[in-house]
Amino acid sequence: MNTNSVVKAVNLQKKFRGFELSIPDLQIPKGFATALIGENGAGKTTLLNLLAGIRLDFKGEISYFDENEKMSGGKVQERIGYTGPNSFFLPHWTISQVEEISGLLFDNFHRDRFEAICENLSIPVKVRKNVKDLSDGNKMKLMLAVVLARDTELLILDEPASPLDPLMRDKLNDMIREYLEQGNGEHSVFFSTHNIADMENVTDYAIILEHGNIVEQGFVEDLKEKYVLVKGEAGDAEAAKKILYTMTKSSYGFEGICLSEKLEQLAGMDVSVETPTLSQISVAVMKANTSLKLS
Amino acid sequence: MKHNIRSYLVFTSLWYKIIMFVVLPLVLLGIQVFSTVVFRGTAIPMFAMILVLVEIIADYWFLGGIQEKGSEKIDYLKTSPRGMEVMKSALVIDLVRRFLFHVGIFGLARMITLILESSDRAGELIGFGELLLVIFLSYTLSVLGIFISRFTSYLWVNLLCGYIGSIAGLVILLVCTSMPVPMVLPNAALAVLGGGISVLIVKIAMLKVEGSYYDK
Amino acid sequence: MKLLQNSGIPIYQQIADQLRSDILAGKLKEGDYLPSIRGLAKDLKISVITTMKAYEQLEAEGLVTAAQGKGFYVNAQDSEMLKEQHMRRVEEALLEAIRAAEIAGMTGKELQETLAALQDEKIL
Repeated sequence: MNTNSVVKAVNLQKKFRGFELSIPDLQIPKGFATALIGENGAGKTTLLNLLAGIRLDFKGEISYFDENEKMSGGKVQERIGYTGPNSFFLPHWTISQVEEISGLLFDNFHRDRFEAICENLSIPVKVRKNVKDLSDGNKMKLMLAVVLARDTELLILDEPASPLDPLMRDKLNDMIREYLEQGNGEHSVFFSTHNIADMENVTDYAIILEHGNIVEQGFVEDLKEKYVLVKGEAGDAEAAKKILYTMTKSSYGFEGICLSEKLEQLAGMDVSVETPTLSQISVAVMKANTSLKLS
Repeated sequence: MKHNIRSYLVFTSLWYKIIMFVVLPLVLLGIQVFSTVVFRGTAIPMFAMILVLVEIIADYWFLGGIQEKGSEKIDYLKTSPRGMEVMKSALVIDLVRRFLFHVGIFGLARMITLILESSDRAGELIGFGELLLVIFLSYTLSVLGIFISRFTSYLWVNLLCGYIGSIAGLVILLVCTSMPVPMVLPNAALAVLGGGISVLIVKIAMLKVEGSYYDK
Repeated sequence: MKLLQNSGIPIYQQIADQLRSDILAGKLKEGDYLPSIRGLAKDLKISVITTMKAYEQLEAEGLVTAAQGKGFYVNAQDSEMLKEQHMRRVEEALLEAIRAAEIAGMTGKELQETLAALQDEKIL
């Protein structure tokens, strides 16, 4: 598919605490929601930090938007909204202070929009609570409120779904889709997640990261054509194992992910073929690349 | 300048502003009036103790723990093109505000004494050299306590620093005023010390916050 | 538009099918714009890429055309092509019937008789 990219990175390298992030070529499609998937310690947060400009020591080049702008100078920062898992606000800030500070930090922060979002997400504005006394879910909502109250073109969200309850995750999906719609192709979202199934209906492009490297990426609909979910009889398990990408078997049968191009090699076996979910594809790719000892 | 002051103000909560800018000055000046009228003496040493104690404790709600390892990663500030500027303004304006507050409040206290005590005793109660000493001393102890307590984010550290600071202040005040040396000497020493700590407060916090953009 | 999550038919296919029948049935007329890709994704609570794939399929079938920056509009449906579209659907349905007949062990003759019988029933 022909798409422009909102972020391009070339020869991105970052050594950090005995682990190395190494991405020769990264392109995040413009106008879509892109999910960053990977095990703990795969380098997701590091990558997001580099892209959000809150870590500046790395090798390689990152450029943003159509004009291939660099992070330095501040213009790019105004156009990006970031939320993350590290300390984000000072712990004793109140919500009204967060609002004041946001107005000072960003020209494109709209206080009326912030207040509307807080109301909409039932963030306890009226209660004079400090940020540190908010629940993890409310803290996440507050971070979303400050970035969505700005006129941004790119959202970089580090694990936005994790602290949220199921209802709010659904709401998060709606908010992302609404953001994409408002931009009419000019707004993009890049988020990391462990909750692939919850975010599947909002994910357009997926990047799977393992050990600091991109091991698979593509538009979800393309990935669903590249891989198929195969189920078969226990008797065929041994033969199928050589052909399948990943497989689990039990005494009743086997189940696994197979590359579509290899599907014909399964001819003669009694198998059923289904379209896999993104979650199933991701787990398969992670399994194939992990250093975790799986039985 | 307006922008700098706003940066400072947004870092302080409403309660902080009410206590520091309204309640504290009223209480201190009230004590001074009461002490001058009733006891016909100045309350400035006690006054300085309260000021140092309250300022160090209240700092917990301003930038408590800002120099602590890890807590400097205020990612929201780092994503703004003006984040570092705002942070620095808040640090600097706080110190300027603090110094002007000490000058103003002790100046006012002295004026109260001068007005209420029309006799010649007023000049004896507190001389100009002593006035400067008390200003420099309370400012220096206040920023020293703040500097130390900002390395942690525990309220009890602020409390401890506050108590030690205020008691130390009283002792130093007594020692300095009873020693047969001109007031210029301790005043100069305190001015240098207070200035030095002020510079450190800004430098260390900015090193921490800006340093979190990079690996250490 | 209603989408079935677990029908076995991919979501993009369901969207394409429903829009196609709306076009063929004349509910969406020549020159009408389809809903915006991201707007439809939002309304249906699905990803943008899924909607886009449905639209691209309709474009490949010649039912709609993409206008730069304005979305997709419905093409003139010439009767020849319409007929072809319908014939393709008939063929698909019949193939399905033939497969089912094979499983049931019906002969070709039996199948044709069934078809004839059903046609009669419909006419009556």
